[in-house]
Amino acid sequence: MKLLQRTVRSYLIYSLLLMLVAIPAFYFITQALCLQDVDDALQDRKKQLENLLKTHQEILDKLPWHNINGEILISPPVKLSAFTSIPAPEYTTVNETAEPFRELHTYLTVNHTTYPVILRISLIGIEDLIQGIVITVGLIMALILAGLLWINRQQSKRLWQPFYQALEQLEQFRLNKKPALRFAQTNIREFEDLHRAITQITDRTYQTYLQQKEFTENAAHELQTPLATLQAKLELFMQEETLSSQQVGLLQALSEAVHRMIKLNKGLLLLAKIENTQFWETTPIRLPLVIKRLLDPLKNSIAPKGLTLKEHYEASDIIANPILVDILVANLLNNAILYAPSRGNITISVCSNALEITNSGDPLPFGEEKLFLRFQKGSHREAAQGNGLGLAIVKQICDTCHYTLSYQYADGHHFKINFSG
Amino acid sequence: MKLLIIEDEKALSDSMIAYLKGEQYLCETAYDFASAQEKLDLYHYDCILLDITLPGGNGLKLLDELIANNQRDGVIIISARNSLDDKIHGLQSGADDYLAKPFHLAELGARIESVIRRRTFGGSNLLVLGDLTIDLLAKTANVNGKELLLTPKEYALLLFLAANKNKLVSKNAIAMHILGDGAEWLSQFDLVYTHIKNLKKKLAQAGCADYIQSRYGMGYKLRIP
Repeated sequence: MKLLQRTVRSYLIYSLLLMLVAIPAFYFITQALCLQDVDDALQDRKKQLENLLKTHQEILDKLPWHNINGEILISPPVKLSAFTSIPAPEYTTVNETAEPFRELHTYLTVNHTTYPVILRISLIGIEDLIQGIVITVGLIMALILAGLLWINRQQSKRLWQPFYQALEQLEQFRLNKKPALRFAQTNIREFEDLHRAITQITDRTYQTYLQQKEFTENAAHELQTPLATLQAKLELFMQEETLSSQQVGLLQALSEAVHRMIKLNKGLLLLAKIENTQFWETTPIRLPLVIKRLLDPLKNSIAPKGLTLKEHYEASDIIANPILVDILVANLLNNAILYAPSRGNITISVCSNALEITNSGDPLPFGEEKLFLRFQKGSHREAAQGNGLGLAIVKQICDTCHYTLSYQYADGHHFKINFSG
Repeated sequence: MKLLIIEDEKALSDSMIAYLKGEQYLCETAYDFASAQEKLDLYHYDCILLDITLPGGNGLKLLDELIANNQRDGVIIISARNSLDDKIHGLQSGADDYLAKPFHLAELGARIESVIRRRTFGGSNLLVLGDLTIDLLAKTANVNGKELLLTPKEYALLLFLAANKNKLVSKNAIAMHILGDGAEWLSQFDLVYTHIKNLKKKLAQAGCADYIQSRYGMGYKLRIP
């Protein structure tokens, strides 16, 4: 839920509840006040009638009971015992054929004769009035509410603008890119603080990242010369004409270790190189040709392992950097051969901008999320031959060139690269 | 043939001299920018091995000076920087070749020979090694006039061994050499053994003496008597 919706929702619920309670309450209060008014008027009328009857008693004699304007009804006198008191006047609201009346039932005593009297006033005008007032007030309240909500929304949007901008900038922040955060000018202190904090934290993170990256690169660079010396000395040693079998064993072990170290170092340097180069020149490349060229020297390791190689190519050119594509394909092929079991299967298929390489190896002994990390290796014996950088290099190339790299396990490891992103 | 090795790492420089000694090369060394500059001013060399990162200056500057003075010495850049930019810049400013550290001495030997051969105009295009003759221009080899049918990789392998004749060339050096730049990320496994086996078979069929010797399982040597 968005921040704006949250605040507006609270306002809205409060306002609706208030309206639900306030409008009926307002209706009943207005009605009560009006009835009070009508009752006062009836009381006035009773007094006028009483005065009238006192001065013009003959009215009573002319008729046994009187209906004046349909509003005053004087019934024949009733005999009241001396001990019963005159009942208190009573107000009631009656509905006669859709026309409501307010009635006052009371007794008038003229010359010691008590007449029951009913006085009534039509309420039809008053009902209309109350309805009108309630509707008007309701409308005004609704308008005020809508206006407040609208103004609040607009203002919040404007007020929170710097926050959303900062959020957007943060989302675009990438560790391997120099942060270029630009915040809109704001005169609100909290946002100024926020912007300053974000700038500081991204700058510091980037600096730390740079230092770490530089360290890895420098370490790898600095190792090149000592490694070159080591390798050269070993090769000179090998030139000796007479070596004992023990010496040969030592030399071979040394030379293998140095060779692995050199490959590892080259891998690290390559990773740094791919990451540091922003623009790689691209040309159209026919993937099946690349695969066939790289497979050729690998045939020698596919055959002894008894691997079955299935190839399926659809002719399609991709636009990519040839060096990177070579490295990418070579690493994927190496990986497939290394991790396919003896007499297993390797499938290579190329179709419309996508390359899929599958090997029938056992499931990963670690989580899928670790697959493309540096120095992550499988658990079987042959895995020790790899340098643990192959798939990290593949991932780095895909990230740099915006290729989609996906992996899934279904009766084997499926690596798929979509070159169109 | 005079070589100048400009390399600040003395141990590496000594190894190069030790490996190249015994060939027809006369090696001189320079360990820093100033002494290299001085030697380049005074003498001419057939091939210069030039390290880029030197105490006292950038090796590429020495290369620029050579070009400016119109000295047509062969230059092989040797760099620990291993970066494509250095390679491109070096080759554009007139270097003949580029070798990234760490390299195999056998690879260095082959590159030097190739540079010198290219620069020696009028030299023979035929490399004669006992019964074996390699035609560098036609990229063919024959034994006593009988042509060998070699695949491009087998030819490259033979030439590589020939450039390092009478020296042990390690299996890794051979693998790196015949796979070339793009395929260096492939694991090599038994690649070298297969190619050597095929080459030996073809040489034997042509009636060539068994020049290619396996040494302790570490590598191979083309022994020319």
